[in-house]
Amino acid sequence: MSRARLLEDRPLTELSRDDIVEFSRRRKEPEWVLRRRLEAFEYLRSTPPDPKIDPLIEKVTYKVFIESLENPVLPTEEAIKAAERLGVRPEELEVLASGFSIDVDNVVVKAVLKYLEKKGVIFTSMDEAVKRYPVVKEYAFRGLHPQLNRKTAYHVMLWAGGPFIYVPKGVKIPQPLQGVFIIGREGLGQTEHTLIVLEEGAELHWIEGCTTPIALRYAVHLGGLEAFVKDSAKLYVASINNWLGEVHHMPVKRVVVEGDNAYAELTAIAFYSTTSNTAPRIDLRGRKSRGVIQNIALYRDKQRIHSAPLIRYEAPETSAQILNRTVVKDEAVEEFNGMLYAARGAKGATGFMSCNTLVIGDRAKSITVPAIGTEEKDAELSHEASVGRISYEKLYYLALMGFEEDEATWLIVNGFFEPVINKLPIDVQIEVKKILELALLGH
Amino acid sequence: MVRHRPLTWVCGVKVAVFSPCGEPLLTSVKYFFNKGSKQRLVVRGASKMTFEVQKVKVYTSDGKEVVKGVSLSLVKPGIYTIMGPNGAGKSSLVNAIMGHQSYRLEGRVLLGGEDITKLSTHEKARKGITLAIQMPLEIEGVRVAELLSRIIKRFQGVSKTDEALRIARELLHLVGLSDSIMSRYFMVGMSGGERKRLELARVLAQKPRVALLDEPDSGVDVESMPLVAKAIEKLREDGAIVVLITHQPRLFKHLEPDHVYVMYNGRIVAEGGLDLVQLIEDKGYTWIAHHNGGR
Ligand SMILES: Nc1ncnc2c1ncn2[C@@H]1O[C@H](COP(=O)(O)OP(=O)(O)O)[C@@H](O)[C@H]1O
Ligand SMILES: [Mg+2]
Repeated sequence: MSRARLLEDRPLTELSRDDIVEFSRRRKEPEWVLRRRLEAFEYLRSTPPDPKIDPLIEKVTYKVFIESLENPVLPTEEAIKAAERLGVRPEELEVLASGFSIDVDNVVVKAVLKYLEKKGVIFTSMDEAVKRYPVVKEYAFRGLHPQLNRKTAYHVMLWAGGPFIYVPKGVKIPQPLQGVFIIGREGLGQTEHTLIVLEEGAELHWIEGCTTPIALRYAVHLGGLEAFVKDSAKLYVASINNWLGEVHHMPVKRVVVEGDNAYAELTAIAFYSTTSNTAPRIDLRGRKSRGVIQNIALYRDKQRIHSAPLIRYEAPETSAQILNRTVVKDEAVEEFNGMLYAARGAKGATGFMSCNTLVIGDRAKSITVPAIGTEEKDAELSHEASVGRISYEKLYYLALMGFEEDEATWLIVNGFFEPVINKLPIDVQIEVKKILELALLGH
Repeated sequence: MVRHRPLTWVCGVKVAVFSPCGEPLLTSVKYFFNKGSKQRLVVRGASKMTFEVQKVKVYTSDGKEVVKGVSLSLVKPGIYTIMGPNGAGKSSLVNAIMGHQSYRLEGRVLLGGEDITKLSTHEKARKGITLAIQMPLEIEGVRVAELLSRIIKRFQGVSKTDEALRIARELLHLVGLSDSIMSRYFMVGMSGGERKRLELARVLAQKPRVALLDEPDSGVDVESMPLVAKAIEKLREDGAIVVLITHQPRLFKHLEPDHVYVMYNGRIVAEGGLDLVQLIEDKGYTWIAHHNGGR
């Protein structure tokens, strides 16, 4: 296989089996990873294209994809100084500048990493982890398996990077860990894979921020997150997405709550992307396990959004909640098809789904179709939905207080999100407020 | 819930953390967020304040004339009461003055000699005139502390949040509300009396030059009445022109108005001092309206 052929300017949708083999070899991956990639490849070959997915991926070429993976732009000393002047804390900067290498010379970061290591926590990149830790093989691509659907198959075939977090039995990590995924290049298809394993009684807050620093002409975010949660473990994941420019957001997420009395919470906070197609999923397999999927979003301009969160109950006395709290403005269109599904065996499952939308203007639209399905007679699942508008009376009242319409709208939108946001880690709250301010007030 | 600062970590696709031109990407995002400072408007003029309403007529959107020519010329700080029965047009008058979209106003409104008739509501507020509305609305999810501190920052030129919060607490104490109300959502789940008092604290936070108060005493229980009176008194002390709408004389046990107007069927039909309040109690509005011939 020649390198010239590999770097041919072909769409990601038209890769050959050889390309995948070569891709995996270049990355020096173990055989089992390659096998997963090839299974995904076969699945894609044997199923028809999905009009919602394939045309978007088609626009990313293999050449650009590979180049951005293999040649990250390194920071110059000047850039680091500039960053410092702009108020990034030095310890943040060093971690940033060092990409994913762990030998950071900073005391604070070192101390935290040491602490985690001593407790037996593994926090490293997936690229490393597949080579070094046998435990990865047990879990990786079991939740997000190559035959789940086309989107997942693309992700498995093309994944690169992302963190692996393993928290051993009984370890509760006191500080949220945070990852920042940045699309910094035109035409990039970002495919990071996050794998989280929480052993019995472990606890983790994982915050992931996805962003672009500049408005991109075209990019696809095809990241993936899978997690496994054991007995009495608690997992909180908050993802903040704020893409600028033409970015198509289509991540894949699945959490398998395997343990009894375990808990998983997936929070997505979405502010910008051209299109968004998400279907986060939680499977409740442990007795009395609980799951929450919450989505907080502001959709604007001509955004096209499709979200279809799913919680599947498979064990007795499980409970779940899906909360969708969104604001649509301008010409944005949101379609929501959340689903709570109690499979056979989910005796006494309870849950509810609540969808509240605030519509601003006459052209924005929200189509909410919550669904509930059950194979168990005594499952108690319910849903409620509301669509509201900002009343003139409220704008007038706030105007009496000196707020002009934009500010008043911003306050009302903030207030609309507040009951959900105030339960999130403080840093997420601050970030969200900043993004909202930028989105609605332009500063 | 863990509330420490998280460890910021960059992971991923050997992440290109810096842009091709070497700019720090994450930083530029932060920079972007911080860009543009909030404008702050300080409204306080020591100049002699006047408030004039000239031949104002108010029409509802279905064309009904609900205020039929009202003129007021208020040239010094004080408490000017407008009393009148339900339906006299009191609320319509003050809301039309503030530019509520349901009303069309004819005539002119002058603030410190400046014609503000055509300004939008928030512009009027920023000029120093505001209205305590008859039925304050709930602003869900927005805490009292947040709203008041924003108002105080804008209207009192305070830049530090701590200082704004301190002022907010003082105002709440003045109207007999405790600190615990600071963390509640604005007006949400509050009793009628609490709402009225919070609304007065809100108006005080704006340090208005002209405060229009639409029945600040209605729904307030007897024990709280002195607190309402105290807040109104504070506005007068601060040099504001207070237009106090009420239709019950009970507030005047705690407060002495500088002047009293009687409004009836869209018109001012009588004016005078406290003796006029006594007359209202003795004879009623209708009697007064007829004996003054509906001026
Ligand atoms: N937005 C409106 N649309 C139609 N009629 C109104 C409106 N606002 C007030 N009115 C009418 O105008 C008259 C005066 O009402 P209002 O100003 O509320 O009186 P007051 O405050 O003195 O009790 C009443 O007959 C009322 O029904
Ligand atoms: Mg009224």
